[in-house]
Amino acid sequence: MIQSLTDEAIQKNGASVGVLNTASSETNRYNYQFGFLDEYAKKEVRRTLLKAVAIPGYQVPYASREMPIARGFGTGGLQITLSLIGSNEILKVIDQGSDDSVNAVNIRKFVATTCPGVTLTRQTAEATLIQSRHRIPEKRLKFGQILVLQVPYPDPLVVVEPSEEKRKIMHGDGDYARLWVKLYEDMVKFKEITISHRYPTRINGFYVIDPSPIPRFDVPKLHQAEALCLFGAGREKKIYAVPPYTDAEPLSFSDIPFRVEDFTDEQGNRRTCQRCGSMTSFLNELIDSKGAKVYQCSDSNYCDSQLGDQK
Amino acid sequence: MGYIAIKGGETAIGQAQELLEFLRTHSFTANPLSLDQIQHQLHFLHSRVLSEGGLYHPELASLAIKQSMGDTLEAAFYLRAYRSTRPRLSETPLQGGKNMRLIRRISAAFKDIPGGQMLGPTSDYLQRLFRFELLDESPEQFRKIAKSWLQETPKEALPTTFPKVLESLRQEGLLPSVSECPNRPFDITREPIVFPVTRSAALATMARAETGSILAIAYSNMRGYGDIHPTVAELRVGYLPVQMPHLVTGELIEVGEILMTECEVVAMYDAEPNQNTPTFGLGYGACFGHNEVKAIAMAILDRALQKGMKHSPDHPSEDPEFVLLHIDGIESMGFASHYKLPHYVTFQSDLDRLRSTQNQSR
Amino acid sequence: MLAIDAIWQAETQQKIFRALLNCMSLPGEIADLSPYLGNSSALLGVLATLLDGTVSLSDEDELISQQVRHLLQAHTASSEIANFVVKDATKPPQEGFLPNLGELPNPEKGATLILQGETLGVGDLPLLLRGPGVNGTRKVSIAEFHPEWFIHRQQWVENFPLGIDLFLVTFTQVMAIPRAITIENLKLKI
Ligand SMILES: [Zn+2]
Repeated sequence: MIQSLTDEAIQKNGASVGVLNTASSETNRYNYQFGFLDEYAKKEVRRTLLKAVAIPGYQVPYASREMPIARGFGTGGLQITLSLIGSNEILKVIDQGSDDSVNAVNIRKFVATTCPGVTLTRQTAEATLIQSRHRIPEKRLKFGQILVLQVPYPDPLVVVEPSEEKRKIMHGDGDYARLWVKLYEDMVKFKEITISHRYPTRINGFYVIDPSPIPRFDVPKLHQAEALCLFGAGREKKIYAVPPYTDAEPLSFSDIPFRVEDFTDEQGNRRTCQRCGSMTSFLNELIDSKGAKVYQCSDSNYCDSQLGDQK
Repeated sequence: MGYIAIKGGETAIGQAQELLEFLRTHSFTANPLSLDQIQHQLHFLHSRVLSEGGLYHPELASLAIKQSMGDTLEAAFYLRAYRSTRPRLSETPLQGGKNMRLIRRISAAFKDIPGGQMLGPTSDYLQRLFRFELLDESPEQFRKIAKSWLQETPKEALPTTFPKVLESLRQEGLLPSVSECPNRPFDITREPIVFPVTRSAALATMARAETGSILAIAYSNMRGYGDIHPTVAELRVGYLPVQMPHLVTGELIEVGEILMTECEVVAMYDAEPNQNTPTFGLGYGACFGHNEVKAIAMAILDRALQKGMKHSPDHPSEDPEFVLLHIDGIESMGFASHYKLPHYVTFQSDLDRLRSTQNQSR
Repeated sequence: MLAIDAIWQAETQQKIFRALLNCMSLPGEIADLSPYLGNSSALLGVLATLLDGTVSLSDEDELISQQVRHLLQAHTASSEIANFVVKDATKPPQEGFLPNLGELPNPEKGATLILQGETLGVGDLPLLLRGPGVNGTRKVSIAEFHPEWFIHRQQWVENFPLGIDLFLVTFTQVMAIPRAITIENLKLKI
């Protein structure tokens, strides 16, 4: 079932991008090596990753190289992926839950071109390494899998303190009082916590992280997960991690519990995916050609496999 | 609907690239730009890209401009991304601007400076009137200009180096004495920037800053959100030799030279608690290529940041975090562009919160 | 002459790194590096994978030859400030030995301590681990690692996030005990 897109992608990419010559090309003075980054850059990311795992939830600073995709498109996640990846890797790349989103396609193509031998897959269960933006797959990740999340804003304290120097001191002291006050004020004003995604989550009872712009729906998946979750912020130059079997608790008050996105309709029924009929997945709201609202799984591989199971 | 559009991602990307290539080539009569034309006829564009790209590679800078169709942010981005693939194998010894082979040096502080003012190729005193004859410039005319200039210019030997204006100020005791740089220069491409940062890290960050961004913040200081009040002691443009130890003998040899712009400003003095006599403050700016406005802006901000590092910052331009984290073009451009990416999931989440909050308030 | 051993090659270093990352995420997990090491020890494999000219190394027990040190490129620093500290753990820590524990705002400056001993997986020193990366508790036994190292470690990591992260290496194996881990049975045993 593993779809080996590698060769196809290389052929296509070689023609359209043109600048990426693999090391075997002798005709040009310039070329790119396996994994694109120079080995010293990978070493730095690797050292950073080890510290990130050793200090769960702490944002470890690193130099962060420029990648051939723009800042904000996943350069942090990509640097982690390229520092991890070996030729025996089975890689899945998703954006908004979908393998076919333009950004996911682009990153997958880039990896295929610069990391010959890597197998690409859409199947969550088969992947050894998953790079994702904005979603954690519906299918529970297993022991041994690694999830790399792309992070635009690594620091949950940025909403209460613009200075990084001061935020680092607050984190070091485990001082999240101002964040609690913010949540409390929200409740007084709106009777709800208004944070929709990037929900502040406390890791191993100490550091509070920004779990990247995943919906609240996905936050509980970080808690005592079997898989290793790595977070890469390229522009802000930070890497952090939630190791397997680690507590991840969204900040909440005893009287107003943390709640995931609500997909119940006006009649009080759980909305379903119009495509596969799932009643449990995170749904995208779409407007169909007649102007009516319809709902579909955001995780395309999950939706496909639900459909497959029905046949 | 949205779902189908995403599904075609792979095809869509391919076609977009083809269209972009069509945009680059769709004048059916023109010749492709040569890298030489870009480097010389688009001298300042080329300089800007070299400097913002932070990689001194004139050939690839030209290629970057060609590929990006003249978008400075994109072109600098190509150089940066390429730089990420190159290891740092060695460090060159420190080199002072004094050793530059100059094409231009001026001082706004003194009329006469040792070695003299040297205007060089500058647009400072141009009247910005269109030269309509260039609308239709023939290759023959074009080639004749440089040829005859070379023939008419006497080959008298210019001194290769000039003394620095600052040296005389320093001898008079108007500037603080130079302290030896205690540490190795901070390499922002190899080490994370953690605040508070060293001056070396700040200078390296500014040296590859986006010209417009660094200018805007420096301008805020010039206008009144700050009080540096600089005087350009010296601005020089020229070729700085690069030295490396010889592989066998270990002796320093010149391996090449790089075009650089360097600016030193003196600014109003600051009472030092541990210093008996007050002196002028100094600001330093330097970057690859011929980029005078950028070098001046950098020198002003260097001075402003030193003030902000010593005392607490009173203005944005004196705040190292504010300045250094917002002047990089690759980062700000990338993040602005990223808003074009799909945000379906987060928007769905936003909708959920808004609806829920609306229900609460009903 | 020094042949170019496998551990200096990018492909090998990627594999060793993945083993190290796996160990760090699953404290108590023992990785066998022998397929990647060629003639080198696990200690050298780990160092070759992680070190370069931008970090510092302390090797007061001289476990690494001059030749290899040169290849590692890391500059030498005293054990109080080095990023990586290598020790012969068959002997107890010297009086006053104190690695860098980092700073509250910058805990990653806390050293990575690499202790070389004899045996991982079996032995007379059982360690009962609890913390991030461990599903409940995990028991792992080791031998010829002097127990005093773990008593000192407990003091070094007592004020999280300050602390040190530990790699235990034998000739071919490696195991990690990051700072967030509690070794629960220490007082019982020693
Ligand atoms: Zn579905």
